[in-house]
Amino acid sequence: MSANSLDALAPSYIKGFEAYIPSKPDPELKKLFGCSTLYRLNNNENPLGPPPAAQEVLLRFPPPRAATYPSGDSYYLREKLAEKHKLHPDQILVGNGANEVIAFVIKAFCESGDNIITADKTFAVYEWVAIFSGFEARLVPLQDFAFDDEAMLRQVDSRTKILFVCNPNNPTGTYWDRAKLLRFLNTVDNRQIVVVDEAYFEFVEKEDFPDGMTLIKQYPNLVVFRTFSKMFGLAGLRIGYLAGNLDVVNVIRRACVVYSVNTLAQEAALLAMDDEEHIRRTRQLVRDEKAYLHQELTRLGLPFVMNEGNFVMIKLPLSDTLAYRKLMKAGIMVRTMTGFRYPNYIRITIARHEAMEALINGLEAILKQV
Amino acid sequence: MNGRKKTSLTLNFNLKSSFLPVVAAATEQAALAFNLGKNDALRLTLAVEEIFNYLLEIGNDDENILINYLDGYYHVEVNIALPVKKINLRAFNLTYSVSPEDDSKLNEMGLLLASRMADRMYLSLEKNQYLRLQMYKEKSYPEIVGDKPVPAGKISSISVTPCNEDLKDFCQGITATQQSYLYPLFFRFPGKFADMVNSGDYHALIAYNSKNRVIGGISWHESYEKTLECFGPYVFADDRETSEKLLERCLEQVGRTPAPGILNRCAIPGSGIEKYFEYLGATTFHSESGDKIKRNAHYRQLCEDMGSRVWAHPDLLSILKEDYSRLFLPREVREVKNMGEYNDAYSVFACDFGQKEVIIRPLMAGHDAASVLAQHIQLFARENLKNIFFELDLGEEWNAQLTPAVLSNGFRPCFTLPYAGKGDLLLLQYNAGEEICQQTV
Repeated sequence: MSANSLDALAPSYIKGFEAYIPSKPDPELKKLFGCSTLYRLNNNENPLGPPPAAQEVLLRFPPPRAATYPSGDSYYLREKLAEKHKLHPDQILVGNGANEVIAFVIKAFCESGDNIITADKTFAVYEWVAIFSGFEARLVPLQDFAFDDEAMLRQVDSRTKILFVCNPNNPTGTYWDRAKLLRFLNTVDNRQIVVVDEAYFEFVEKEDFPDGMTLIKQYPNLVVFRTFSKMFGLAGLRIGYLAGNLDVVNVIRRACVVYSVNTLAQEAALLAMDDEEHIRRTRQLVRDEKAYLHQELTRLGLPFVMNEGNFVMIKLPLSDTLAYRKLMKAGIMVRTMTGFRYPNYIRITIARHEAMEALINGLEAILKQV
Repeated sequence: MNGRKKTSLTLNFNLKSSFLPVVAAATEQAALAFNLGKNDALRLTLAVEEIFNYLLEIGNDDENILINYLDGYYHVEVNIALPVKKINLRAFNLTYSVSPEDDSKLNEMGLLLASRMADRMYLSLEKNQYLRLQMYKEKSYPEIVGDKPVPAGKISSISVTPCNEDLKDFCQGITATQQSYLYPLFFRFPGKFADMVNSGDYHALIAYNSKNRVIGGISWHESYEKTLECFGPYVFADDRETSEKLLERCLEQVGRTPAPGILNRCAIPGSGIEKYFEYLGATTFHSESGDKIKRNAHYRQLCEDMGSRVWAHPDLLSILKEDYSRLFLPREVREVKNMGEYNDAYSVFACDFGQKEVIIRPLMAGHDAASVLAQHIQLFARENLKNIFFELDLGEEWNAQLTPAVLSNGFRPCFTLPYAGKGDLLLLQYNAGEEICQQTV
């Protein structure tokens, strides 16, 4: 195929979009940076792994079952999730990670000329999926590290189809309390779809933090995202879901790819979601290590943004991308924040104490060179 | 941040002498229609005629040629593309047709003549199938005369969509407060800078004080194929807080672009650049008055470095390893050494002419590289061009083979620019003096 014909085939919004290149596998990174160990503090994974019952599912999975297709619509998992959230199973759609359900919603509701609204400094996938699907992404600046409800509402026009709110926000950890979310939903008044992404829901212990699932009945335009990648430690299996009003979900279902969630993921998720002890242990670890980081980052004189979720943003007196390379040499992988529009910030995942100590030592060494 | 829609005109025809009047008329009329002045339009027409005549000499008449004229608002761009399969690429060396030692024949060198008449000329090979020659003729704008009083005060706000008058005030402030070697020439032409920003090629952030007066700003554009280059921040009253806010805002604006990094070659001392950027190395700018000015280059990546492989000749191996180690860049440096395998007989070099400088880029590496490069240097000496650079693409194995020819002709490494080519680009300067790893901030 000639370059000219390829150029004619690709839409302009695809030609103008640069593919996201994920990190190389750990062994390759270790080789490149010359480190013998690697603490993964870049993806907000759970250092405790999946709950024990889910681990058991993985260990006992009979290999011949790999030859059989999974349940195409995660039948049993949807039943159990529905029971948990007091919804009908058909109000739930399971996807290959929450990233897939973001695409389902955008494809279901947007057409040429439409726009979505979200924040400028939040999880990038809402913006990316909209742009590479040919839709406008209107980005509203955060106010004091938090989603600005009034500014978002001012951006709404007749072509706005979806408003995405990340609650709590990745990477700042700020959240809208129940009153604020209700005020926002009331003002939108069912004219647009409101997606509330609750990927870090299980990490939040604040009493005023709203559970979006309980609001679906009252707000038919509300779609809630949850994931098994964070608290439940199943990131490697890729499984997340959305829930909403039955009519809304029936529309989204038309843009949904079935059979995209594998058997292992479905069965591990079924057993993971019940484990309250796992949630308690994870929350304890996050609390303890946040306290340690609070103390150590203060000692080092580094400003930080520590709110809800299993992550913290740290501001450095040097380029975050340079800090990434220096920390990688020491076997510590962090997430640079320039791509989140926070230059010189890094985001780190709360992990076991040994990893947190390694991070502090790494940062201290870097600061001595500045 | 999209600019205005640019209009263009394209000619598609066979390479035949009978089309010369068509090409000449089309060039002149397109240039005038795109608001180039009469004299500039004529110079561009002469440049395109020279190129066309040259192609007639070396090409075949059944060759399909494409000429595209683009209105770039502040310049007119001419793109000439033709398939390379039957073309003698050697002929695109500036020094091909006559010996540069023979002054009487210099004017017969079509490519050189064209480069003199265009403000910028650039030759490239696309996927080894198409030869692409780009020429730029910039529109004429009035230059700043005299200094206006420059406002001071603390930063109150930053605009990402400044109006023309604020862009022009920004230029006035820069020229009134900065040494001329610290900013590019276009800032002396405020109308031009406003057009550059409005075209979408350049971007600017302007800082204001509480009285809404312009107190500084920063500008950036796509420089290399993938890399951005920024100018500034320029803050008229030398306020570090304003500088840092401009730098941060600029990085927020470009943080989610596809660019892997952003370069700054005119960092203002004390602007806080070292807090956001990394020091790469330095070049020496030879001014017309004979002064040598050291220009520090700073760079920062905009995303996490995934590591890559670079190719290096043994003569550059240690210096590259040292530099990559200093910059903490994960690179697998692979040694390239000719062990008797076949090499092309001829080399081809493209020359990118800018303001008082030329960058030589290799298109083909052959046995004659050292002598062809020497001829180029002689030629530039006759043209009184003192700022001569060479770019080695470390991501291209065959580029490494040129190292002995480049070093033996007096080029010395200045700095490595990550991911600016197929791989990292090593910039070398002729008669520069210092080497990359000996530089300090």
